Amino acid sequence: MIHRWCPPMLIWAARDLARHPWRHLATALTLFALALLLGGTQLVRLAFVETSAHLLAKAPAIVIRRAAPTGWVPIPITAAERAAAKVPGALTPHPRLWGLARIAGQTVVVMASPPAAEPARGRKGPAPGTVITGNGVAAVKTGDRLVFDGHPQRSLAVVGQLPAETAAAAHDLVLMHPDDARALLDIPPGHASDLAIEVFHETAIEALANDLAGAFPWPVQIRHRTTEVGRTLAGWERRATLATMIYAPALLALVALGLTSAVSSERASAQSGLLRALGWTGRDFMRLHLWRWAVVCLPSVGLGLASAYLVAFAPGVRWPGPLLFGWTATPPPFYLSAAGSAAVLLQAAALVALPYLAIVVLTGLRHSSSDPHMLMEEGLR
Amino acid sequence: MSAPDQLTAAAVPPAWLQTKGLMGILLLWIGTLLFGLAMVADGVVRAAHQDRAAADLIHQLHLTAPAFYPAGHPLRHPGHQSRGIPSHYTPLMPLALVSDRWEWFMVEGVRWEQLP
Repeated sequence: MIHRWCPPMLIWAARDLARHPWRHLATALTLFALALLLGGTQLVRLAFVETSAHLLAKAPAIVIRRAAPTGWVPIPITAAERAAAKVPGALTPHPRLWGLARIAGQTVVVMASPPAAEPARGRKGPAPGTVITGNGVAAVKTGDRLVFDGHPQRSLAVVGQLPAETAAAAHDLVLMHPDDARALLDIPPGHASDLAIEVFHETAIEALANDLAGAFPWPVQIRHRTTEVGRTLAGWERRATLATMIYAPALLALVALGLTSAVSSERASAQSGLLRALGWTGRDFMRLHLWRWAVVCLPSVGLGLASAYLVAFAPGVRWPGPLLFGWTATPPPFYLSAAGSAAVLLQAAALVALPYLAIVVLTGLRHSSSDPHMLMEEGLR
Repeated sequence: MSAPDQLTAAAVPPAWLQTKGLMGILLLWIGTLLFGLAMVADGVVRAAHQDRAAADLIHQLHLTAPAFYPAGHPLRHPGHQSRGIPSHYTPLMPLALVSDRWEWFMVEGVRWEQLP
């Protein structure tokens, strides 16, 4: 029944393909794997580039640390704010109180909640003696008490956990009251870890950083957002380029295999000669081969790219944590941005489907331009 | 109708091709089309914005770096030094550069430059 709705040439192409089912199944699987690997690599690169860009766009424009011969030392808040205020264009200085600590052997980021912060969707910052943790702090749930390594006398109650959607920012973060953070990190009152500064316009960051370096009465180390964005994006481009280079030989191998099979198929030559003798024109051969391409290539590439999309953008994907970033504890569930993925999907589809289409067209042209008698002789030889 | 169309129309396809072959092809095409449409809808409705919660938290807490790497990792925090890569690891270098799990690809492990 269904064959009545299908173009006759599609049925012919399906019968043609069914003569060598395993060979065409292997071709389809190869195309699927290539689309998955190439598309997946590019989509993962895009996902982390876009997400990094979105996250870093919200980060402070400039961060100033007080440098010392042994590394860094806490910065006096009042003096630092006064020094920053001398530089026109340096806006809203925020003293940040943060550092690294360990819980049961796992390194975590300890951060004091800013006074007006609402870190967990409407919840207020934690009260003294309490903490809010990210989901990556191992074996901790709401109601437990946290004890930091080296501070057995200090026990803080876990009153909440940050939503899983924030894992890309705060998977192993422990948010606490500033007094608790000071006591834990050994930072004296009136001091902070560093000073975050905003600017009016992105282009002013580098110029202001130079002015700020001379405005403080102590040596300072200044980091700014533009450098961090550039470094992050360059890192991802480098990784993706190298990964694509690894897959490029596979693509070339597919083209070579397809061409060899198209040129050396004697049985196909005999059959094509017979069909040409029966009145098939070059256009008919081209239609036949295009239908074959549509049956084998389109679903393979489409399903390969759909799988690549799932691998990169499924909500809460955890595989990049241990594989790409070296997580050994609970890896973060990533919620990555898919902005701009349509162009990457089209590019990957073209990279895999077009070489195969070229092989198909070449085969069709060869069969349609040769003499039928010669084709039959070649096939029967 | 052209000669090949007459030929193919006259040739009645075998039963297995009618029931399984053509149905399989059509299902594959429909499946691919549905997956494509689902990807477009997902990208427009959800996936293009699913990092918004993390971005808001970075803004509220004045964080300077995403938590892609674990805490204490040299690449987690801004201002880290570039990685030192011993040149005699070159045979497996591309694989090691793609992943930060150096120990999976290298014999002697990692040499990170220290933070300032």
